[in-house]
Amino acid sequence: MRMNEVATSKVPIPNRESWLSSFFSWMGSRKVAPYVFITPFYIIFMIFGIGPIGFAIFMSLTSWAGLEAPKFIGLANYFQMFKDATFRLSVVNSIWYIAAMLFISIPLAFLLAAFLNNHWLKNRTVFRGIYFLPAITSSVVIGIVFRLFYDLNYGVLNYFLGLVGLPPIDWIGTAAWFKPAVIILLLWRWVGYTSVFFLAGMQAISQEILEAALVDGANTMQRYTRVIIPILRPVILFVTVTVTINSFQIFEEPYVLSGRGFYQSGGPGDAGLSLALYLYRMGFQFGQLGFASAVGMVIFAAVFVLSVLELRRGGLFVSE
Amino acid sequence: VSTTSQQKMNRRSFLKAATLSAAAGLLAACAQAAPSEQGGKTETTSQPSGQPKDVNISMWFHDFLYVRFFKNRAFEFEKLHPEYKFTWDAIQVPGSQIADKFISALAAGAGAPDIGGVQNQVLARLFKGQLAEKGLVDLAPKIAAEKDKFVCWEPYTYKGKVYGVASSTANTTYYYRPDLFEKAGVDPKTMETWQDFIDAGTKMKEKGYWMAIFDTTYPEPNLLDPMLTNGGGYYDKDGNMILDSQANLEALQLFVDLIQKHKVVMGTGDFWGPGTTAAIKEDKVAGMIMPDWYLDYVMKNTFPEQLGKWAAMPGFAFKKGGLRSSYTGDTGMSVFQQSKWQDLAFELIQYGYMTTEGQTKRWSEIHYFPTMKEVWQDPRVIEDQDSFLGGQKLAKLWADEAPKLPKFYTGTHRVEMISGLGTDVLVPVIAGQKEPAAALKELADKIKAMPQ
Repeated sequence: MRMNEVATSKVPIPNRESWLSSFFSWMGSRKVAPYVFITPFYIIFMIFGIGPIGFAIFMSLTSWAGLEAPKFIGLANYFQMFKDATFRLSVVNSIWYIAAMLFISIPLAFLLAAFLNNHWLKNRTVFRGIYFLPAITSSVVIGIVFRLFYDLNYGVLNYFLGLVGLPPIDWIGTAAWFKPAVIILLLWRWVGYTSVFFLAGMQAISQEILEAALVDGANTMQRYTRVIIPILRPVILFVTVTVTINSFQIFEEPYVLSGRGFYQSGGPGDAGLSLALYLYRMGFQFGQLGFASAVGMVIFAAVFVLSVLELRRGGLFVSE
Repeated sequence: VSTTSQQKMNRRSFLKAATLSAAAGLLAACAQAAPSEQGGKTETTSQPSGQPKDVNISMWFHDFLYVRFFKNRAFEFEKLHPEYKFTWDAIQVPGSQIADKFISALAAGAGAPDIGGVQNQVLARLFKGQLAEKGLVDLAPKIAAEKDKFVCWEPYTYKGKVYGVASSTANTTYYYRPDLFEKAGVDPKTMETWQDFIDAGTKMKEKGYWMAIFDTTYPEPNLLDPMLTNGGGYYDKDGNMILDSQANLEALQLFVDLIQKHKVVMGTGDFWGPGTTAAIKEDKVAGMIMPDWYLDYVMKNTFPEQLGKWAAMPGFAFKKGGLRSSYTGDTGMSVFQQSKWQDLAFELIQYGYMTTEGQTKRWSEIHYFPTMKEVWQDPRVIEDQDSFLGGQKLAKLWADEAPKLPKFYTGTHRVEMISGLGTDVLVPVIAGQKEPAAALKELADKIKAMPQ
């Protein structure tokens, strides 16, 4: 026992346990611990969020097609893009899609939610499920079904047109009708989904407020315009911004409807080519990854500006 | 006090564990998989002596017939190599997704199969960005000794390197319904040129039959075939783009005239959709001008009730004695550089695609016409009768045409040409918005301006 004590005092052995303990107790301190806890998220966010964005910005300034070294070309991709008629066509098509989603889809979704919110409606959950179903249906299945639906000679839609004496329409075979066909598909797919947000908002409105409006003599229309819609303003704002962002990224619907996959995904004459499809074409199909990144940057800028405008208009930035 | 102390201890322990776990995870994530150092050879990992070596070979094909064929060959191949214990992973990837999957795997440097069925259009895309050069095994040295025994290397060749072994000669064929021609009082066998086709079509139209269905938004194969038989195409043998050549212009004009002027061909923008299927099933279409693969890949599966009602003849020439058939694209079997078993993977392709036995089996099992010249006259091939075609000896027809097939040259911008011919040429020309010559010239100029 005595010998051991002597030996210990002569040879200083670093106490590993003690510095580890003090390191961990430092990390566990009130000042440091919160940062330690949020660090994993930020590390992952940097790797999978900021990193790719930064890389995409860099790539947008390069000419790059795959495995060879990217060549820095400055803003040439951007200049080339704005000169490209196909890009301009995709912008116009995207504006059509955004307009249809904002001005047709959102009002329809609101009406649908109002219908589902009626107290006399039984099996509301079933209806809600049915309306939500298109949003979670496989896009491949949607593509097959809708191409059948739109078929020139055998499609259900043309059958109904025939019943009212109208000639059949080549919905997906002609440039003129491809875009309306995509818009109908978009509405079918997303109106139900969007209505769920409105329905949730409507159901959160206190019955007392609605009853007070009723006592004050408000009719149905007045209750909606004077009470429900103002209360739902944050929901409407959220839906508007979300729909705008999603509309910029429309990809699957024209892709599956064209039925061409890799080779020609914009429909006849690129009538349905959205910005996201244009990006895909330039990157995957044509192998211009730097150019495609530049398209991605433009989409990001457009989404950002439009969203900020909508939020401003919606009153989000108004100081109290 | 003791409770507080206990809580502190728990939190610290948790913090320690969490930090260590995160650090371990990060280290694991940062660790790079050790690259194969086999230099394109089959991996030679140590294994207890006398034990068969474990080998896993994955294969991706868009066509279920390739899955079937290579599974059959794989089982035979196993018996030739008792020194290995094989696991085969042959899957069908949807045609619309397979190109993206190949590109993603090559760009990422991981996730590619050992063997891939790369359609020659997709391969052209891989020529860009060195995806093919750095991602696919150059088969040129491996096939050098036997190359001349086969046809159709050109669609898989770029800058002297060969990236795939063709699956068939893809002969364009006129599949037709003799019963419908008979009803219209037309003898289809007398047709040789496009003019004959138009004359017959005029009579068929009176009886309500279309001579064929053409894709009006996509150039392959219905526009590409007359382009090639007329001496045109995408590239010449020196790699120069010939998109706006006179031969291609004549082919485009013919294409448009057949639909709009003569009205003997039904044009559709949804060629692979239900309309085409329904029109054929309802006996409104007397024929289809398609490559060899259309018969087994589409017709026999989609119209099984029409067994025995069809027959086949070569396509049509611009003038008497001219070319009547062309190669309009098939799928090449490629070996990926990411494969640990490159030699074995190629050996399997060689076994299935580059032997007399393999080619005759390919013919008998999936009906893709042999690319090996000596097999063209093999009785197992040439005497084979096709029940869907009423017992016709189909291989004899293709064997007659195969030596005459015009060479098909490919290049980096083939995908742009396919896309542009559909979007910027066929659609506006058929809609009357552009003149054929101007549309072709405009597209050619656009492609020339693209990064080379």
